[in-house]
Amino acid sequence: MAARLVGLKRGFVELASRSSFSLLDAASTPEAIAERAFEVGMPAVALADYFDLGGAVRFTRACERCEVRPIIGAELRVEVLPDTPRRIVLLCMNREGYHHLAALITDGRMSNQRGRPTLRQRSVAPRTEGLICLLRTDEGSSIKEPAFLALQERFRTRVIRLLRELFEDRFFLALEHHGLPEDSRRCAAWIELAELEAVPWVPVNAPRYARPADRIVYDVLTCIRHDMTLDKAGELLLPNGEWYLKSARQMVTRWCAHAPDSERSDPCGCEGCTALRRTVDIADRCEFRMTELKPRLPAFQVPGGRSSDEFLRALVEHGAHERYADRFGSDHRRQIEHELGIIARLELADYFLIMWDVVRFATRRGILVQGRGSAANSAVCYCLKITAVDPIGLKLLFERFLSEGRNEPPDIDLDIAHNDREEVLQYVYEKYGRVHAAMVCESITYRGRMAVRDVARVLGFPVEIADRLSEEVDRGEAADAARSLAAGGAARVGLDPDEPRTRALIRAVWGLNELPRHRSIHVGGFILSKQPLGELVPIEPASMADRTVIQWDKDDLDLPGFVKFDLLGLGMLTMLGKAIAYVHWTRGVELDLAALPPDDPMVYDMICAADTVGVFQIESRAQMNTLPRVQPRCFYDLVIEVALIRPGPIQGDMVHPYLRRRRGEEPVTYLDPRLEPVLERTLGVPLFQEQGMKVAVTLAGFTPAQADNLRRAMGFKRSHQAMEGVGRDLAHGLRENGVRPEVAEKIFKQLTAFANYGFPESHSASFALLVYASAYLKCYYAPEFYCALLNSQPMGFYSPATLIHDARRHDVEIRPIDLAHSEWDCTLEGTVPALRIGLRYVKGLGKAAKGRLQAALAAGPFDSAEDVVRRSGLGQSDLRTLAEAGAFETLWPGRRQALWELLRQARGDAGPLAPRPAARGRGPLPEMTDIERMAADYRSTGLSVDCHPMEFLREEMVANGVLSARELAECGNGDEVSVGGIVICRQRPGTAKGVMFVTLEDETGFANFVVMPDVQQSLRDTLLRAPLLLLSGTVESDQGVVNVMVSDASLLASRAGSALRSRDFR
Amino acid sequence: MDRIASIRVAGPEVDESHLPRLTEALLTGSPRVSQAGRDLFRVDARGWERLGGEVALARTLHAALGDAGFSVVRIGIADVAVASDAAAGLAHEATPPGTLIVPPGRTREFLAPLPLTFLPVPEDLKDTLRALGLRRLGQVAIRERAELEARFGPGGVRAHRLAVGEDDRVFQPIIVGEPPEASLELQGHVDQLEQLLFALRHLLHRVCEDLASDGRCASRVLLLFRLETGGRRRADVVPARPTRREELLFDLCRAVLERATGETGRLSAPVVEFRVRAEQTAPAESRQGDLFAGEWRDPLAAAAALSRLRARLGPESVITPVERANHRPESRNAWQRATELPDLSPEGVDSLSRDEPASALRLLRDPVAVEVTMAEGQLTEYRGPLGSQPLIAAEGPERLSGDWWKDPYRREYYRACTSEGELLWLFREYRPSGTLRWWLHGWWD
Repeated sequence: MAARLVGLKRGFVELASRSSFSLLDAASTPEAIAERAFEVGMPAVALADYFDLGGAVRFTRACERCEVRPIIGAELRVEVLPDTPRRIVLLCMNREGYHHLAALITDGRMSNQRGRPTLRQRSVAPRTEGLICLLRTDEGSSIKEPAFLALQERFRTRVIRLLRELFEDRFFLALEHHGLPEDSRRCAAWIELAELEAVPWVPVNAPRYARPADRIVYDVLTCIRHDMTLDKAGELLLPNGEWYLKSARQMVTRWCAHAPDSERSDPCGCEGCTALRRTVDIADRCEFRMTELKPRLPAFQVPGGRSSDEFLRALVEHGAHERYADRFGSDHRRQIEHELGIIARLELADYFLIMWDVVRFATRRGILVQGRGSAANSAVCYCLKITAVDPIGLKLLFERFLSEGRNEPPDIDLDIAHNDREEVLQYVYEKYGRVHAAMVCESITYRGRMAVRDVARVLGFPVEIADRLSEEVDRGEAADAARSLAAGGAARVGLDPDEPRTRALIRAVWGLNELPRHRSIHVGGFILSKQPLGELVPIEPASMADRTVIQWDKDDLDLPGFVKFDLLGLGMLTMLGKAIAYVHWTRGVELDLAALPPDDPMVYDMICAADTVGVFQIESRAQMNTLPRVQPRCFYDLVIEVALIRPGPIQGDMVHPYLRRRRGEEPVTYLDPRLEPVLERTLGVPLFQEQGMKVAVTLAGFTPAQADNLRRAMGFKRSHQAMEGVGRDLAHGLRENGVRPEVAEKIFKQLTAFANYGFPESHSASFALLVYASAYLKCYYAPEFYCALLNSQPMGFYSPATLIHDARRHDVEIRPIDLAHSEWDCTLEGTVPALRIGLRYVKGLGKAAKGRLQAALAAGPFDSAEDVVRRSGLGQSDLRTLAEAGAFETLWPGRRQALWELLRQARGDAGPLAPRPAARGRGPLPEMTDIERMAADYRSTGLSVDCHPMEFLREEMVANGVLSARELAECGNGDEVSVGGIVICRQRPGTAKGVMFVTLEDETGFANFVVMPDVQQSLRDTLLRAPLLLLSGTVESDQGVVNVMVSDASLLASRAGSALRSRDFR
Repeated sequence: MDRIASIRVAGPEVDESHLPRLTEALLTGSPRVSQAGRDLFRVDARGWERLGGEVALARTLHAALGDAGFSVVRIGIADVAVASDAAAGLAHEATPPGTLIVPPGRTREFLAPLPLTFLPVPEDLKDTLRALGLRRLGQVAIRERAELEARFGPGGVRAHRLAVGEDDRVFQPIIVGEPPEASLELQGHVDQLEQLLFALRHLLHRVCEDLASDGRCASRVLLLFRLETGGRRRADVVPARPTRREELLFDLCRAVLERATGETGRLSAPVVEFRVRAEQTAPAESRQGDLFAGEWRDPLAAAAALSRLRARLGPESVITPVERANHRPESRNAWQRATELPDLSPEGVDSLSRDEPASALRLLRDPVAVEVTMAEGQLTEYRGPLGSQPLIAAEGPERLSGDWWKDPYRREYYRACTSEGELLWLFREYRPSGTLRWWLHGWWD
């Protein structure tokens, strides 16, 4: 911590810095401000973003690292006098001041149009205690009329007097001098006024960026804000590069009456130096720190006069009885007592009760919920039915969830059926009130492609060039994009790398790295507080109706001590809920997810065969490629499977050793014999975060708290830095415990790999439950499974068309859209249920048409085409869409005939004078061919229930020796093959070193391809764009997993034409 | 029986400025010419039986359009417009390429196999017809008209009529505002300025009379000369405002002719034809002038004066200062060609700034390199265009920088006072190369 500033009467503290949280109006992160302050030897620095405290926590952390005292503040726009807003900077002296500032920002944000905050003087008046106020004086007018100047001075005097009345001795004028011609005159006028009114003034530089070089980023952001190119921005840009965080020496040079050049740096007794020293005095008065906040949760309303702890205990005991029944033993009691004790000592009973209440609400409403993440390590959560995994049975580590050594609240993530999540969110808002509840925000930072597009646009490059430039960079961060452009990307687009504009492009893209671009709502993070939340952290309206968000994202909550409730939407839960209901309706079978037959061999056979399209978490191409190798045969195998195909294990080189050991191709060994109990279940290969913790405890003598720190370093976003710190302790511990250096190095490397999304075992176990449940449903209740899947879209990995083809391969009868039988959603018909596609899959039916159809269907099924026209009231366009989709097949056979008839009916009676058609007309319309029908299906619904597009090409394919997916599966290693199909997956994962993976689908199944970077270069256009591909290459077959190493690619023409869509880079 | 030739013109982008040239070429084929689309024209194809038939017509049109600079031309000839338009669209596939003639009476057979693209009806109607499996005009033609009317109303009837080759679209003549024009065939050796001015006055008089009868004014007048040598010369005259004042136009044209004849007072070759054309016109203003009204005191005279200047000294001679939003002082103002007169109405004049500074900054458009000596942070001496002078006081620096993406600059400005009382505006500039140089940017007086 930095030394107190008392007695430090020399130097300068910047009191009005802005960070990138003044969105698009500042160019440096809070961390960069803190680092710059440290570099220039500033003892403290204030952050004053515009109506925003979003950077406050990051700023505090960064200042602590840099040993610079953080001063928390904000800049506000206040109508001190009616209709004449002025900008003031408020700095927090103490906790009371902070609460006032947060409340003022909340008020300004919530009471005005989104993005245009402002405050009235009467709102500020009761909230001035604990705040220092600086009046910004850089606003001026170029009008020099004496009458106007006199008026202006009178106005300024009134503003000064009013603010002094409100803030008393905490009011100062903030003067800025950026070396502009008008600055000297303006400052002189203000100083004169300050003397006249006896108000102290301070110099500020009000930096918009930390370092001089960041000015270009600020200029770019200015142009983005004004939607303008640099060439046209003119005076919208600042006139020089003086708006950076300046050192005391630079400020003395600027303000000291005796230092007109840069040689002199010591402050003297002149007016300017006195004012500079005043900034240090102000900094000294600002003692507030974010760690003082300590927000409290709202007390849960406990019935019967009991305490929260007592009520929680009662609930847990009741739940334990239900969960464990006869199995309840001493181990269970001991663990539950242990957990309840910690919860009581940490005063977290209310937190668990609130979560229990949310789960109870959802369950009563029939909404599927399931806790995931580290909460599954807790027996208390299991007994409260927040989670579904028995942590005692699975020997999960409770300390991963909660420990007394860790000075932070636990994290409970609750998955909620995504269709019903809003109901749960609104319940929380209503129960605790909007004053005490809000969602966490997510700061969306510039990614590479967006940065390239924005900068290129601002620099005046044509749109086509901007698009091509953005295609040259991967979907990484802006810094990666800048590197990529510098390494030849810009030249490939035809730009001269030495041209100033090209160099500027690369520099500016680099500069946008990690800068926030906008703020959105976190996927599910909620926070609650006992005191009004807006006094703890500013709240603002979200872009979605009925939602409010705080200005901090999830990583900012720990430091001030907020407890987050993650209420996440999960499509799979929606799907499972629907499937269970369908099974009940069609077969009268009551399924309970918690009571499915465990370890069903048929389910595992299906999984081992990688027949997992639609199955939760293991349906991706990478998972499918691994399943035949892992051969899962029990629940814990699924836990491993879920965790195995993740960037952590892949980058840590843990996947292949595990697979080899699994198949018995290499012996199960341990880096140290002491690790056997820790790693036994994963065959000596560490896969889970908990194992990482246990390794540290076992081999390095870490306490559980230290191990948890290690785990946090592994999981935290910016963990590489954090890992270095704990790495030293780990290395020391390992050495002390006699671990050989080479072994210690391997252990460290494996643990470091977890930094990229290492999975907790408990999380994997929670997911594995859903894996098994969805696989079970697919295995035994395929029609219901696919029906639920189709009615829960969009979700999962595959398009509805692929799901339909997969369903057909599983002997599910698929019935087409038919207005005589279809409802809006897909439905099931008959005792061996057939799946009827719902009207929701007809493309182009808008909300109005949906409403009309649903209303008409609610009154009963349609019995004729005329009935449809009459009761739905649909227009010609919608009727044509439905007819094209074949929806009238029963009511009027023949799509074209139906449309012909509908057009007449929709037009109504032609009137008495209309010519009468001949009695027999001119014969039938031309019938659709099979190909035309399929093309119409894809065009109007995106899927075809009758056939696969490749069936029409099969004869030609066979004649040319092109194999089907099924035939490919029979091929041996080294065979040269060609396979054609629809592209259902095109991926280039970050961990694959530029390798692209393509999956084709034909009428017989899937075929997998691997395209190396050099081949991609030569076949780029074909590979990246075509929906239908013919790929040739060499077969690599291993343990039933077949991949083709692509050597050539060509387009396949389809008569389904443009209706076909590939599914790319998801 | 009607016969229509449709001409689809590619090559240069066809816009309104091409219409006179294009129409002139089309008129070689027929007196009835009509524009049917941006690049589609129709001419009456009848009457060529004795001139070699429709093949000859097509050849003539190809030649005339080629001469007029339209190199890619497709011609279709048929009984009705829907068929001739379609034939023009398909003419590139014909033999020889460029012309497709549908024999008389064979329209329906010609149209029947064509896709719906050739049916000139709204796209959504065509989409619905396609959805019904009716993909060719013949498939539409065989439906009963009443059936289509019952489903599509008048649009269906129209589609059917066109599909069977019933097209009653009549010729819409191209309305190209015939520019008022007058010309004289000159006999003998006419190359002197005076001779030309004599002819000019006569021609201008006729043009202005035509303008008056059309209720229009000339905003651009073209002087065209055909020379004895076979060459052609032309000159543009652009008055400040549209006018048909004969005297004003004459003055402007005379100035142009004086420039063209130069000091010799003669053209380079004798003129055999002199033509004056009001190339661009605008409606005449109907406001009544008032000799004593303030608002009438300046504009015409100013316009005439500026026009004379333009005519005498060239179009770039009249320029006006404009403000630019730019931080670089020398880029804050620019001169641009004056296309319109400033607002000289009393209100406009009153709105101009009357701020009168105590001293005026004389800004150099291009700063001049000077030498300045600094000692202990103070400017001490100046050496430059004003000679070598000690500097007794200076204020600064004021900093300006920018344009980092194209032409970066970084300057520190000083106001410096010489021992002789000159008040200079100096700056030192840091170049990217690291060098530093002093410049004089202006002075106050």
